[in-house]
Amino acid sequence: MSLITIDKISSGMKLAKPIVNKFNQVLLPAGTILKENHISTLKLWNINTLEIINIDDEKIEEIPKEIYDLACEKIKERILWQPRNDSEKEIIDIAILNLAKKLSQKNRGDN
Amino acid sequence: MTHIQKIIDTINDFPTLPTIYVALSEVMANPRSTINDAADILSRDQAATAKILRAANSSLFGLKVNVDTVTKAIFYLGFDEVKNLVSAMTIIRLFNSYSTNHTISAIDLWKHSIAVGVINRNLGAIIAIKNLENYFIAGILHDIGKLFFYKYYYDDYQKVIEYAITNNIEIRDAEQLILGITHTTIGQMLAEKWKLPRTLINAISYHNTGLVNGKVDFLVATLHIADIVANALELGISYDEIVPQPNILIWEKLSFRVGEIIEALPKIMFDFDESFELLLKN
Repeated sequence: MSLITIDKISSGMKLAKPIVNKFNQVLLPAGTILKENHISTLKLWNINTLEIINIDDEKIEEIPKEIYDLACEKIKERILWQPRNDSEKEIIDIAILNLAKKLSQKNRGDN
Repeated sequence: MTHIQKIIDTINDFPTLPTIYVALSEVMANPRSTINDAADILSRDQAATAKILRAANSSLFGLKVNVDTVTKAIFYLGFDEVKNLVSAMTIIRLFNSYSTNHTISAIDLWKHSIAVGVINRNLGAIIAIKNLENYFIAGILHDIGKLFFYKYYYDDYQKVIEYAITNNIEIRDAEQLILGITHTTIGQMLAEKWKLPRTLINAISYHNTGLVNGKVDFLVATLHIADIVANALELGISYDEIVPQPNILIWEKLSFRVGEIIEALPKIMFDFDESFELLLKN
């Protein structure tokens, strides 16, 4: 799930959460795939941010394997313990993911 | 080289929180007060008002309405959350110093604290805590003792940091060894001086273990995790090079569904950027 501002949305994106008005009435349900006409309507409704599914999952795929491996190694230098449950595993996973993203952005910037 | 008494004297001489916070606390403690009484006090401080409105509309609080007046902010966020935002802003102002010859800036320390606040609030929302008003502020204040050392005992604290790194021990243990007092104790003393609520004093005192008198307290437990997550994500600087493992006891009570922490990452990063802009830039 990703939170994005109205100027960044494009058709084909999928809503992670419903869009509601100030009376909590649902204007567009979660899971709606946005089309061009939705976008202009959203602007008309003064909606500033939306939560979108999958944007970040797509970005993960863009991270080259060697960068991901490098991030794993670096994190292992700072997290010296073994996970004992799923939550602890996820803490390590987000640390790796976040570092991999940073490294790959830096990489793109350098090139 | 311990000078605990000197440190304690510094705390005693430390300024109390500004009038706006004190006035707000008084209004809120009075059962006959209305939203308008609190709004009146806030409206006298234009800068505070503007920031509260921006905060109320930020994704961290996830309101589905546009908050354009202080009265609305109090209505939707509650008295306590608004008061907490005021204290976050004033305490950050109190402790921010921009000395250029310092190797680590106060901003990096505040960045860590803001990250912990944002993560804590998100974790609280995930496990469906109903009263989230202390979650953000608990993160903002949890390391206030480190900021105190940074501001008043910078040279001594540099030695503490070097010692912790050289000997590969936790910063808290190095503080105890070299200064004779830890940042959690200092934080607790400051919070008591400022007459902050007991929940927040506990959060500051016990975030290292996540337990209050051996028992799991939701706010303190999520704060314990949030501190570790912020450290793992390298958001700001906490002076701990090594990411500690969570206290196993807190997992008995804090249960996350598989995938929930990973799914929260994009929102955490978004909220962090937004809160950082709001609290640390002008």
